[in-house]
Amino acid sequence: MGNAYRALKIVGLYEFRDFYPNELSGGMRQRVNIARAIAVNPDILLMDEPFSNLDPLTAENLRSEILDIWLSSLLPIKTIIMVTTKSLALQGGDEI
Amino acid sequence: MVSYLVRGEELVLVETLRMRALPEGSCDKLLEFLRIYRDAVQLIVGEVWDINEKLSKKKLHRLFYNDLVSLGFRAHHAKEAYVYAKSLVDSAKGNGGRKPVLRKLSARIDKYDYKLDLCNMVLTLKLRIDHEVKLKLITPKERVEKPSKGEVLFHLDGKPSIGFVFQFPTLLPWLTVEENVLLPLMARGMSKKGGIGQRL
Repeated sequence: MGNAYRALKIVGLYEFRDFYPNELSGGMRQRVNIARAIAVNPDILLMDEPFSNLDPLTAENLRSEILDIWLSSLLPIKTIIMVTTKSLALQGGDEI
Repeated sequence: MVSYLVRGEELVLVETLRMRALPEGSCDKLLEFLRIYRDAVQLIVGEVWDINEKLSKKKLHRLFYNDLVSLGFRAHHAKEAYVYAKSLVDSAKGNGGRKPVLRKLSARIDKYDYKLDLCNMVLTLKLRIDHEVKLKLITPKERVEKPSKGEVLFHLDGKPSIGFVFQFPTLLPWLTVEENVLLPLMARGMSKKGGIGQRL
């Protein structure tokens, strides 16, 4: 499977591949952003306040999904560097 | 808005003009259409949700097309409606979520269902059978601007090793989800085919 499809599968939006961004909710759009970032098989994933635009529930779901992606060996990501102002988002981090 | 895409081997300049449009006269017909469209999609979501077998497009068509057409939907609207509903259900089930509830009023208009008259700045949408609505396009102040000078640099050398997620969604609105995800791959010189792989 190609990188783009795999990335969309990982973030759970494979079925929405033919949709346009304005047909998606805010959480889904941010998921596409994440898919786009991981599609290049990066070693390092940089995230600039990735959840600040989302409601708390969506943010929490997305946070645990990213943790899952990182912990599973699906992708070669070694390090995730994240900027955040919410202490909850720090759970699971090795260094603060 | 000006952006650069990589098509095959070369860079292509893409200019896009986003326009606002206001209905001529009242918005009632447009709103009515959007409501009926949303409610129709919601109904299909409800039915598809309870079907546990795999639904092909053919089967979806057989199940819902006639009902949608009898509601006054044009052929392309009907197709978009059931494809959209199935995507919503697949995604919700795939994520272990609950049955989706639609709130947004939005509909995708097929190219056969609108007429764009740029001389008079009018966009005519064909809604349901015998329903049309004319929208007056408003020219925004920020017209398409051509860059006076400058260059676009891609760092294409070496293995791509950094992925970046921005604070705000930075998706290009005129590209589909798939094309947006493909963008960095194509910018790094991978062919579209190589980036997508095979459709499942």
